Amino acid sequence: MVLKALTDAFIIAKRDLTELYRTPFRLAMMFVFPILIIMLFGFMFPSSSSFNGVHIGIVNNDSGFTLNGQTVYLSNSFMSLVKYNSSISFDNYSSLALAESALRSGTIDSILYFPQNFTSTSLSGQPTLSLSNTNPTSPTLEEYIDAKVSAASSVLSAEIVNGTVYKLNSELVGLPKINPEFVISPVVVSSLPILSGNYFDFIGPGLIMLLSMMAGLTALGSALSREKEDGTITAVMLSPIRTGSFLTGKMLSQLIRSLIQSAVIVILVILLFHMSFNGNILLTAVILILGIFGFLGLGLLVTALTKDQETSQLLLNLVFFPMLFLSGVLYPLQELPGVIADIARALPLTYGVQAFRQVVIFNAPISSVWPSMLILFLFGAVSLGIAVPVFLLKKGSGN
Amino acid sequence: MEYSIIADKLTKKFGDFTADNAISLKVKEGEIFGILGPNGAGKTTLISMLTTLIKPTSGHASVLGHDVIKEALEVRKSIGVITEKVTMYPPLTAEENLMFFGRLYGINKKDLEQRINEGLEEFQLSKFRKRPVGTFSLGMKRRLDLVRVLLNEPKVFFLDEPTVGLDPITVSFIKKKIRDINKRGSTIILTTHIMQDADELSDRVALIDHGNLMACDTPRNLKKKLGRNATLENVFIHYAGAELRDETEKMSLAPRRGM
Repeated sequence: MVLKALTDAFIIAKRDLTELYRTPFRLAMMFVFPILIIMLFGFMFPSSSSFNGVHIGIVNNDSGFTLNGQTVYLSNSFMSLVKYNSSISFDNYSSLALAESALRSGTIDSILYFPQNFTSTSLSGQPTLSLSNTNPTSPTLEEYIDAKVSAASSVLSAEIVNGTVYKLNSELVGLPKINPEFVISPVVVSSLPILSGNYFDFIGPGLIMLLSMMAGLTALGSALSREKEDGTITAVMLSPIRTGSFLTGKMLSQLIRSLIQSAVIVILVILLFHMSFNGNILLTAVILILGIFGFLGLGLLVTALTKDQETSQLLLNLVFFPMLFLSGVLYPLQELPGVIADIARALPLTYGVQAFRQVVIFNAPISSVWPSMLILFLFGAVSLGIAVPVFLLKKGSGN
Repeated sequence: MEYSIIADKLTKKFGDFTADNAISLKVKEGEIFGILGPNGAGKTTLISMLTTLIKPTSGHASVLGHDVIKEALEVRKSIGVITEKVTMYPPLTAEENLMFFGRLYGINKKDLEQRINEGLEEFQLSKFRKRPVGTFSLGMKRRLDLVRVLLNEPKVFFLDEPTVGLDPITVSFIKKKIRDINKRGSTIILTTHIMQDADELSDRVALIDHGNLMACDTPRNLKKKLGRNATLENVFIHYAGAELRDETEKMSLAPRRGM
């Protein structure tokens, strides 16, 4: 009996996958939608090397500083440092007004303004002022340029301090020499050499887990709704197959297709957005499977309680959107206010995202993520435990 | 066995609405048994209960001696059901659909391939076996549906409106096939709104209205009761009334396709 049940489940799963393979549009959409989501977020929250074609308008009034017949322009050094290791290009403007006009029209993304005394004031040991103004309509671009300008400013400042301290040291005869690095930064904090990451490393795993949840939530539901609407489920249920085998087969096919879908997305985000992937592949796959499994029951329950695909889709949106914003996909839970954070902790996706992120980014072992995995499994088992009887009840009553 | 189907006070309620009310009938082995009635009369609900798709609220029924509730799998093994809507997967080819359904009946691959070949040949679909069912005409789909239900060599067939929407040539072809199947010894339960089909094909007919069994006899006897030149349509109107009726909201809650 068990063998027959398993064989039937396998037959159902094979048919589902054959149908998917025979439906190019559905097959394409299986990848297009998640890829689109990933691309959107990938470009919204890019890694440091992802920005291309950034234009900075330069208004350079720096008259330099002449010493021993040689004129030095620190503004040039500053610009070289900003440009270092990036695809930033500079456009020169004769006045701040013209540059501002170009910024408003979108010709340039940011302005760097150097006053006339930029070099002379800097070298005389006085703080100097340069202006930077970036297009605020793109927060991530603003953040990127600010980081570049800030880094350039730090390096240039260090160089100036180095020169000044060197000069001082040469005048301090018989006294301990001053370490220029101490003057620049009296307290040094170094990062532990574990792993480094960018913002996409944070949201990437969260998005992958979110898409797995969506697959689990919608795939079984829409597959069953389609069969209900086409009437094919009637023909299947009229054959000597147990409902359990039918549902197992359906879940198996959805797990396989969702796993393939997730694998493609993982590869894509690694290649396109350089997301760090340091985790154990098997553990990653198990968490993904649990993520999909965790939401199959909820999807089935919604399908059983609704009459058509459209209604179930509307209900599923009610589940999807809170999960998107509250499960730590886009923001760390620590950023959420008290009550919202408590709600987030009650959502199963939160645990999926946490576990997946820890494994993918920090190569966390199973001993650190098993509680989250258990929560996902239990949520899946309990929701299926409720959904299957409801589905059977609805089937038996003919609704 | 004398009777293929026995229904004893079979009742189905959906909330306050009674779709079928204590229907009792017996269908003899090898009989073509017509079930007639207006829309919403309770025919499809009755068939859904007999084919194990839905559970009765009360009463009992058996098909080939198997209880429809306690031995649902046994019942399903021995029946073939054609629903009003063609139930094939459009993206799959005719052959893939038949292989899928055949395997659900546990038929071994060799036998299944042979039955598929014979079935497609008999229903003149051999040359379309590799084509997706979604490209088939309604008539072809209906013929393929018949090939499907023959795969497990059932003893009892439930045919719900098998000729609806088909052209006269296909109707004639399918009617002939129904007779052929019956000649092989199978029992056939036929629901139809086409009185001529019911009259031509059925050995006996049951007339159901408002969930109640109004009459059950041979078409000849039923007509005879109304006079010399009475038709089955006259019988239908006699029991169901001539007034146009729409399904009420409650009636529309009753299952159409069993799920």
